[in-house]
Amino acid sequence: MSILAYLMDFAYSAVPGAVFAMLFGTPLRYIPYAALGGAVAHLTRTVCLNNLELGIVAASFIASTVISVMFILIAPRLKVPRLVFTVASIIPIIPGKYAYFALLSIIQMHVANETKSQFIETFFENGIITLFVMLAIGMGIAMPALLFYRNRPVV
Amino acid sequence: MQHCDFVELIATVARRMYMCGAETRLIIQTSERIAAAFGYKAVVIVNSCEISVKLLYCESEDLSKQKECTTFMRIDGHGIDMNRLIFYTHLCQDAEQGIITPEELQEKLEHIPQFPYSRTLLVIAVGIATAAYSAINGGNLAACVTALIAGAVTMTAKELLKKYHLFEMFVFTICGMISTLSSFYIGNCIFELDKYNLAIAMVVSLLILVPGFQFVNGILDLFKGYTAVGATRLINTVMLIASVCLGIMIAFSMLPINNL
Repeated sequence: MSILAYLMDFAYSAVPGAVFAMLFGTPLRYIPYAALGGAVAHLTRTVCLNNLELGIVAASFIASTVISVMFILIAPRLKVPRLVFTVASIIPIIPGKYAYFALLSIIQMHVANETKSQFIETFFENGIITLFVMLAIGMGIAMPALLFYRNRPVV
Repeated sequence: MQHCDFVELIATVARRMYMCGAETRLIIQTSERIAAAFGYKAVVIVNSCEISVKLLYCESEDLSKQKECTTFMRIDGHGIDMNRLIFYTHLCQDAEQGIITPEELQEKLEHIPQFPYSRTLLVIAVGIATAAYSAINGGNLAACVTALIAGAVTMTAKELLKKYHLFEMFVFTICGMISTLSSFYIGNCIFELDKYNLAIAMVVSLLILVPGFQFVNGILDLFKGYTAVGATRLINTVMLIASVCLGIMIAFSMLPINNL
């Protein structure tokens, strides 16, 4: 991927982050941080996938860990809970495509007249990726906070 | 302010924080810190359906004559409102800095801030977000436009259904169905998208139905030892995802499946 492609990726993925923050009722002055979070999350995952050649599960885990650490540092300065930013930031890395193909294969399995083995294979392949990416995102968000906030207040 | 009124005040803060989507640890910390700021020691327990607060106080200087006051509040609604969550955490900070008294805190709780954005703005914003999400998933321009329209249609449907205070899972099912049908017909009949781009448009138009908040809160609660609340939140997430899947499957049953 060229630098321009990375910049485009960064710019596009900022939009879902910002809009989800708006949907959650985040005040306007905090929206740029959520947009930045979304952009950093997706860019980190793209870099891990393309340049470091990691799998999507490891890349999603690293991306969500980066987001978590970033807002552990930023949120206390703004005096707001970091949940305000982290959830909106992970939206661009949600594995929607895999979940969709898993669901589609279930339906195709149901209506297919001939062999169903390819649909079973597609379902398990996409379903397992979806499950593990979601777990990786959740753990990536939660784990750094456990290291940073052992006995300190959250806000 | 009487002690029993103050314990009600702390329970109200905790309950409202839960209802606007705060994680359990944040609720406990914030409400106990507010109590500590006014010289009380509070023990706050959060369950999936109730908040319990025990307030410990001394009426004389003799610490051995400590008294306690307990209250319970039922949690009867869930939502996500970061504006209010920030408002409650700022109230906690004001209380710790001695800027507000318990009476002022009570008064401020009666004038909570409203949702900061208009519904029309959100519909447009969601349309743009789904188009951008389509672009980052490799969709072409036609897929982005399809996602933009379908995302806006889904958001409009969600807002209209929310007006009637319908059961959340029912809303998610209907929205999942509307999203799939609208993205399929727009992508197939107007833009004549190929299979991959049609799939992208259909996936991304479901973006607003991702229960990300409940999921992350559930995971955070589980990691921090609040297993009961975390499990409840994760079960709620699974039920919402299942509702969306049901909506998609109903839509697929109306569509020519071989085109997908």
